[in-house]
Amino acid sequence: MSKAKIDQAKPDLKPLDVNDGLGLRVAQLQVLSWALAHVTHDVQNHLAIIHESAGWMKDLLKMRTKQRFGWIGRFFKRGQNRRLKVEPFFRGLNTIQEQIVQGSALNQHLSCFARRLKENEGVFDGNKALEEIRDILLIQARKKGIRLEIRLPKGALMIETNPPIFQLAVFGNVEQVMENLESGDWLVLEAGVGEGRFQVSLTSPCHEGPGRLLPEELNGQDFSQDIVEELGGQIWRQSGDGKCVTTLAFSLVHEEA
Amino acid sequence: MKVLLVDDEIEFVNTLSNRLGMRGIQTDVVHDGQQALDYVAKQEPDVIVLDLKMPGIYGMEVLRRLSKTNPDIQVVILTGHGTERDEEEAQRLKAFDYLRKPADIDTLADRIRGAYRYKMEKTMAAVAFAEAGEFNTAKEIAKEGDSLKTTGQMFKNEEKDDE
Repeated sequence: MSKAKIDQAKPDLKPLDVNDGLGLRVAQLQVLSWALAHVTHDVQNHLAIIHESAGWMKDLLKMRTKQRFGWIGRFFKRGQNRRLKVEPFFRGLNTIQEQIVQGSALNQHLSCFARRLKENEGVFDGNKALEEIRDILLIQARKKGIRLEIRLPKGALMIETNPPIFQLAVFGNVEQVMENLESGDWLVLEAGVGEGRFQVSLTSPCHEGPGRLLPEELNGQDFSQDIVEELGGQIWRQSGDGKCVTTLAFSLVHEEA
Repeated sequence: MKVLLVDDEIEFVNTLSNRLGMRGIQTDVVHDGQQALDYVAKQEPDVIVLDLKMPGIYGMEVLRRLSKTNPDIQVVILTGHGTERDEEEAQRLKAFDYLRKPADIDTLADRIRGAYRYKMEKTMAAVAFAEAGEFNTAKEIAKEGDSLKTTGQMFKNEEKDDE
C-alpha cells in the first residue's frame, strides 16, 4: 500500500530519547500500559462471566415459570396473591446486563488505550484514537463539573505520528483548558478535517480576571505545545466573542489502494 | 450441527454452552488452542466459537491453522480483548464473524446458525456445480473456490463407485 501526503510535506519527527523528560515519560507510560492491559483483560473476563450468569438466570426463570410444576413456579405461587410477579426479577437481571455492557464498553476503550501506549510512531486513525479516550475525558470533565461535549466525525482520518503521545497531547490540552474553566462551564471537543488537515479543536467560554491566564498568553510556554510540536503537529489558540478555541492540527495521510 | 466452543474461562464457556443448549444448539467445549486442534483432528465441527487470548496457542493461530487445514469449518471469534488489527486479521483469514464479549446470546446463536447455513449452502452450491458438469473432479472443485473438502470426499466416493 503506497502512501501520499496531502497538504504539507512530512514533518520531521524526532526519535524519543529516554534521557530527556518526554522520553522518560513515554518509558513510564509503556510500563504502566503493560499493567493496565492485563488488568483490563481480567476485568473484561469477570464482566463477561457476570453478564452470562445473569442471562442464564433469566433463561432459567423463563423456562421454570413456563413449567406448571417447576420449583420456581411453585415458589411464585406462594406469594401474596398466590402469584408473585416475575417482572421485577427480569428487570433486575436486565439492569445487571445493561450495566455490564456499559462497563464493558468503558473497559474496552481503556484496554485499547493501554495497548496504544506500547505503540511507536506509525499511521493510525486519529478519530479512533480520540474515541478511545472519550470516556476518560468525560469522567475527568464530570469530576470538575464541566459539561464536555465530544463531536467526532464518522469514518477514519489517518495521521502519522506517535499514537499514545497524540492521545496524551489531546488529554493534556483538554486538562489545560478545563483548568481555566469554572464548574458548570461547557467545553466542546470537535474533530474533523480543516484546511486539509486533521484538526482537533477545543472551544470553551473565555474567562478573564486576575490570576487567570488568557489562552493566547499560554502560547509558547506550555508543555502541551512542546508535545504537539514533537509529534510534528501544530497548535494555536484564538479568542473572540467570549469564546476561546485551541486547535491541534496534524497532516492527513491518504492511503491509496 | 456440530458446534465447538473454545475458551479458557471455564465458568464463562460452560454457562454459554448451557444457554446455547436451551436455544437448540448443542455444543462441545474445550479450554485452549491445542485442545481445539486435537478435537478438530478427531471430529470436524461445523462451527467453532473461538476466543483469542488463551494459554498456549493463541486463538488467532488456531484460526490460521484451520484456514489451511480445515477451511470448511466456519469460525466465529468471540473475544473480550480484540484489537482492530485482530479483527482485520480474522477477516483476512476468513472468520465468519467477529463478536466482542459480552455478546447478546441470541445474537451469538443467530451467528452460529448463520455460519452453519453458510457452510451448508457452500457445499450444496459445489454439488450443484459439479452435477451440472462444470467440473470433472473433486480436485477441480477445490481449485475453483474455497476448499470443498466435504464435497470433494463425496465425489471421490462417487468416482470409486463408478469404477
